[in-house]
Amino acid sequence: MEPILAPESIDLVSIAPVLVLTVFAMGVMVLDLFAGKSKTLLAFVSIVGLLMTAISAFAKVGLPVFSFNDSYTVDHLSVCFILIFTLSSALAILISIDYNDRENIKAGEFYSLVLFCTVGMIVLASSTDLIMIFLGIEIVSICLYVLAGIRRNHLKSNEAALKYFLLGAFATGFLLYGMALMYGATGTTNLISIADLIKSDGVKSEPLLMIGAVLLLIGFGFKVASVPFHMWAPDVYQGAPSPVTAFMAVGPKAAALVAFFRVFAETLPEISFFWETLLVTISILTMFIGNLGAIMQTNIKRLLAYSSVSHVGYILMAVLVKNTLGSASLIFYMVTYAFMIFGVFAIIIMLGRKGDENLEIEGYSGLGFKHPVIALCMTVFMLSLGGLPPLAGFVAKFYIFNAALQEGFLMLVIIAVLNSAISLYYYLKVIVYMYMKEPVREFQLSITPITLFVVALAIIGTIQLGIFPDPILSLAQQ
Amino acid sequence: MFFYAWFILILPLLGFIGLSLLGDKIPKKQAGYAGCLTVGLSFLVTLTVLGQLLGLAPEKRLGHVETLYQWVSSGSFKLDLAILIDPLSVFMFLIVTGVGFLIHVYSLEYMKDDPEYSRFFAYLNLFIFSMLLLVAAADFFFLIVGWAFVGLASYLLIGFWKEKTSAVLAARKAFVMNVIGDVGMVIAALMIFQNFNSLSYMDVFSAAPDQFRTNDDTMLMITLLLLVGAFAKSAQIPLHTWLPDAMEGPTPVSALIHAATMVTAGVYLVARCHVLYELAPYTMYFIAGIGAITAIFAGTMGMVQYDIKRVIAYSTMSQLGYMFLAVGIGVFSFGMFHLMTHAFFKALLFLSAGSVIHGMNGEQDIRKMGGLRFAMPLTHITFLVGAVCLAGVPLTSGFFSKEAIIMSSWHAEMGNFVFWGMAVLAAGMTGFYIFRVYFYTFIGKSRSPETHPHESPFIMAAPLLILAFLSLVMGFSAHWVDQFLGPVFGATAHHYEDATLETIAVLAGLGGILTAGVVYMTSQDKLEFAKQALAPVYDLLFNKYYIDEIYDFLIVKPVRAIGAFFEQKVEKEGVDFVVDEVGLQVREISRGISFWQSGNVRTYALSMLVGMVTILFFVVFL
Amino acid sequence: MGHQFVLIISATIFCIGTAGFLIRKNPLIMLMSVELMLNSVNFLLVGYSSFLKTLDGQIFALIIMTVAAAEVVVGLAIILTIFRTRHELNVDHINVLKG
Repeated sequence: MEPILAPESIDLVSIAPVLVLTVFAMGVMVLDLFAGKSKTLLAFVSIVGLLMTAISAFAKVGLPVFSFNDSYTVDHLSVCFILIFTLSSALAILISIDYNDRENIKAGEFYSLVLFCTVGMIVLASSTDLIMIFLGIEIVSICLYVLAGIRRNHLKSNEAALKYFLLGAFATGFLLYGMALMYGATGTTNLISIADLIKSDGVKSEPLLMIGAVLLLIGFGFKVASVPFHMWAPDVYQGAPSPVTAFMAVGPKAAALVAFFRVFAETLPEISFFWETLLVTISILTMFIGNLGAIMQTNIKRLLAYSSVSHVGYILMAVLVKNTLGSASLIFYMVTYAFMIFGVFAIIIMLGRKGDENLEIEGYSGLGFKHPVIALCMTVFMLSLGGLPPLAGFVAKFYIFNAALQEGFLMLVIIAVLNSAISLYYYLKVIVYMYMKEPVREFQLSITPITLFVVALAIIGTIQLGIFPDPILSLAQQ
Repeated sequence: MFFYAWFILILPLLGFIGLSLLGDKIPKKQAGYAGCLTVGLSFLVTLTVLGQLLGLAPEKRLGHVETLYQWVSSGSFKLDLAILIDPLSVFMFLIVTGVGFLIHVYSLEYMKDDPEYSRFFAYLNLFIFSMLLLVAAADFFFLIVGWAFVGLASYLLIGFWKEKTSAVLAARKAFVMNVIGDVGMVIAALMIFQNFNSLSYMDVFSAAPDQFRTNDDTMLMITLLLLVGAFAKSAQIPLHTWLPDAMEGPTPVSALIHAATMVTAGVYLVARCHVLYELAPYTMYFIAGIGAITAIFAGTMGMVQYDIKRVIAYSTMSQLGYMFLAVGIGVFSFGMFHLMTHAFFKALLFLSAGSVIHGMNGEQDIRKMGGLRFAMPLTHITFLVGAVCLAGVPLTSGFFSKEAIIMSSWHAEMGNFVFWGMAVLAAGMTGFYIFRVYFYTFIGKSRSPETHPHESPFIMAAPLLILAFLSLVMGFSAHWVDQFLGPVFGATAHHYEDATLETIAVLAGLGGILTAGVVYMTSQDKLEFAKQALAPVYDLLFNKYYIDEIYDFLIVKPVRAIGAFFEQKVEKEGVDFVVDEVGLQVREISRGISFWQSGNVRTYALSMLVGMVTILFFVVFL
Repeated sequence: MGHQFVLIISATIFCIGTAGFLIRKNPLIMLMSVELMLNSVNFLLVGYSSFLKTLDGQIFALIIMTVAAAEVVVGLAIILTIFRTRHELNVDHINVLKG
């Protein structure tokens, strides 16, 4: 037997972002002991850590670089996603500072968990080995289980954590079984070797490989919340604290999508004959169930949960595209999605106050008259989520549809467009409530500079990426 | 060289943004003036563009694409923010901004008691902007954006009086119908993009004739899908149900929707895409057929309505049917010419009707009006002008434009006897229903003595007078319009001369008017002058009761039956039912999803397992 | 007797675990069922590893065990907090969030 890990493949520079962030995450934990009651300091240290991580993502030049027996890859896709992860985690931390103060979440480990979770995402986005993918998914998931239940004496938060945990563990079982079968069929856990093997010899129709791939599809399907494995999402999104919900809806989902893309679009395109139809079906179902489910919702977080399910339906089209256009549209979609979601959640947090989160959409009635600027921002985010030009959400959708169209998925694109039209119904519902109904309650906003900053940043991002998408698009397309 | 034409679009947009942000801060009057000013300036810019365009040789007037900036230019697809300046778009600019401006001015007075005056003008500006964007777009993408914005603006304006439930419902209906159209358009655009790898008019229209043979399946599909959008906006059967209901909005809005903007979009679309439609003659026949049917159908509906605005609304549908008939048989410039004359006299009719309603303090039922010619002499004249134009009385604008279409429907290459017959029948109905309204409203005595109708002030009257003037004289510009638009459509339309047919068509219109007169007279007992004038004939030849019977048997009953049939079977049980049912089902499904989401972890796990087993089953056994 | 044997045994254990997860109402026992599923995976991996003569499977199994331990810790903590607020542990009653 040859040595398990070739010494020359150990390349610490390539995993610099992981190392930097891990150090900061542990540092924050230690600092928590001395921080006293206010945890704001920890938040800012965490943000500095994220900033450093983002910078260290560029440590490696001459991409792509494969290290650790080809199990860790630094390429354009992973660098772009590291930036997305650090951005979304930083935004999540920013909107949670005041929320945690207000809702009495005095846990310093909150920030360190967010950082650890980000480490998991980076691992997930960079891994080209089944073991590494599993590790990444578990680091992300375990952190999220805790984060979802971080409000220890809050019934809904507890319930969200329990549901997420039980179903997540259950899904992990399937994911692992699929990985084991793939290992059995190919004799390796490395995605690059698997891809070579499929290309060179006849494992193409190996049933174990196919079943393994399907089980992987299910495992990933759970993590990205695609139908019929989406059912945890509405409950968990509603029960988790708002900043955590926003965090979950962007970063971990993006990470799982990258892994999804790596396994299916990059490793298994040769045997796409069996998973392509499956994925098309799942994508269509996900759009429909997400959009139709959202129509009758009265709770804004639940509505957004269903809407995020439907967005996954659109994004899965990028995996189907299977080439660089697919990965570019995936990157662009997730960047815009991050801005929109954090903008919306920052506003949601602003509209609540201590002990009364004001999450029913009815409670937004008349916001347009009392607080026109905030209502206008909310309108922009809603329209962007619905995919109306000239906002970022539109360009993202257009780009992904265009990619799918070039691969010949005309029917899928038509269905996606139809779904976008349906989705307008509930996004506009929120706007109608804000502008066309009389207020049903007093507004007592908790506007703080940091949350306002996030809203402003998100608005700029949403409009900027809508009107001048070219720089980011060409960056994503390299 | 036409870069400044961007101002045509930007001005109303600025008006919208400014008014919606600062509307509450500035005095009411100034808000209204600002709203008018932007559209007025936009009209002036259009005139400049027109002047410059006329200075060029006819073949050089085409295809001036003015790019503001490249929106998306990376990789495989490009999207420019660009407008197209050519005779067709400038022609539409003139109508939209010109008539739109007059309607804005009229609204200054009409809406003066409304508490949300500035919001109204903001929406009007938005509407004008959206329509201009639709018309100016240089590719299918911005066409659809404008298309969707028009739908949005109409939703806001129809439902402007949001405390009025019927208005909110009507707005929602219009929105739903328009979204159906939008989806058709988007799918068409996707297919265009897939086939031509571009969305720009220039690329698509130049590539289409080489790439596709006549009546190619793909081309038929694309043209039909575009037509879904066109029919939804232009209220053709079966996507018309929103139009009569849209009357719930303020009257200037109705005038704007019906005359200058929105409903003309469908006709414009077919004219703009004439290259594609000429490759799909089957679709053209379909358009002409639907147009002719709509013309008749809407005519029958118009004959039995008592709401003054509803009658005019159905007449819009009917006239749009004419326009579609024209573009369907390939005489595009006649269709556009009728679009223009119709814009003038329909705006005139609506604004006059608005003046009547204003004068009658909101009353819209023509049975409660009467004798208004004394109380509102000016409105009386302008309404009459609109009515004679609509009915196609010789030498008015409606006469020229309608005659051209009716004549072509027989003589043009794609014309035939059936189209001609339907067009003439619809012309007869037109004369009848509009003069029925006229007689009810302005002749005789007042039927509600407790109201005191009053003439509208000058600021409302001025637009009426201008429109009346235009309605009367613009008919003589037929040749000019044909020459101007000719290069866009490849050739000027041939004007057919046929004295017999012409006479029949004119007689049909006049016959309609006469019938309306006779019916009206016979139903008015106390109409002294009529009795005296007609007494000898009246007593000698006709038993009054007898003619009522004949009329009742020959006209009222069948028409009412047809009207009721359409209203009941087609509108209520057909289109509306389907739309309502779909909405209901969607909500039902949504509830089903909520029910499935039971909150129980084990249900979720079971769903996952069932999903997984299904997937495995398919993979292993198929 | 070959890798089919390993496959059948592990699939059986996996199904028992899945069934247990679906049938039992106590989250603790559901958690144990999940552990059973993971163990079936470990069994499969180790079995394959010895057939294929590569170490990947064994390493994978070791990592799974480590991660599963971490997961159990978090899971027990969550179950504990929910027991504190609700004073009972029947997952069928935990359905405030729904719809």
